[in-house]
Amino acid sequence: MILKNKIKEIYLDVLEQTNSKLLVEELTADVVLLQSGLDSLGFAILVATLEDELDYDPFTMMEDAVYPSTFGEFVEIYKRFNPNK
Amino acid sequence: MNIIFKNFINLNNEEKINILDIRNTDKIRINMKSNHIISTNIHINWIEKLKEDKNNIYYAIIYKDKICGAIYINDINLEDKTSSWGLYFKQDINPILSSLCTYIIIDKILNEMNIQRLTLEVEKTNIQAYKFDLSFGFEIYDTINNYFLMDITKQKWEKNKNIAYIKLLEKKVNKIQYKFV
Repeated sequence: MILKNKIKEIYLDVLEQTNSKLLVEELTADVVLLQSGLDSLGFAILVATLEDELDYDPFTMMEDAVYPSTFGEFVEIYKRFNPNK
Repeated sequence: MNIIFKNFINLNNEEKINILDIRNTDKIRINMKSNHIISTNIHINWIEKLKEDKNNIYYAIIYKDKICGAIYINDINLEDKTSSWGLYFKQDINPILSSLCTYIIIDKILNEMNIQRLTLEVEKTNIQAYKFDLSFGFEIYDTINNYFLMDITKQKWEKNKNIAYIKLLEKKVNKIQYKFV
């Protein structure tokens, strides 16, 4: 829960930083990432910021070059690769 | 994270077909000026001609051993110090990759290749790509038919590197490994 909230907080910060708007009412697990308001640059900023905050980037740790489609899947990936779990 | 930018002229046959398959997908074709399906023969012959072409360079982007897109530098004019560029990625690819590759290629063109003015064309209806280019500092200088013509100077790019999110992107680029082959 703490991790999910941290990601959500940084996600909203990045939206503001990149002059983007949340295109859904609420950032819930089933929200499709590419329809949520962040473009690919926004996601790069999000992942870079999360790496600064959490000290890991799961996308460099995973074997496949797949990307989560929903916010819930995005959070799950961070949980799965969390070195402190 | 390890990204390889492999010049089309150095691709093996399988890689040449892989990049053609990506280029021929509907999603990519509809945003291109020549949006017809390209045949394998025409594609292979075109790559052969690139070997003699000093004004255009095409790189396949390889990430985790798979070709996932292409980035290209066109109309290279070393006298005027100008060129244009573009990119395409297959669907469902990590969107971080396109931002990192964009940063890398803009910086390579404007610094390593010593180009002073970099241009691009984006279809007016491709809002996502247009906003993406704006975020990197490109500005509209003209329109032709259904296309915005955008540019950025080396001076502006260096200034833009001070924007917080570009700095963050630069930091991320500095942490990853990449090479041009």
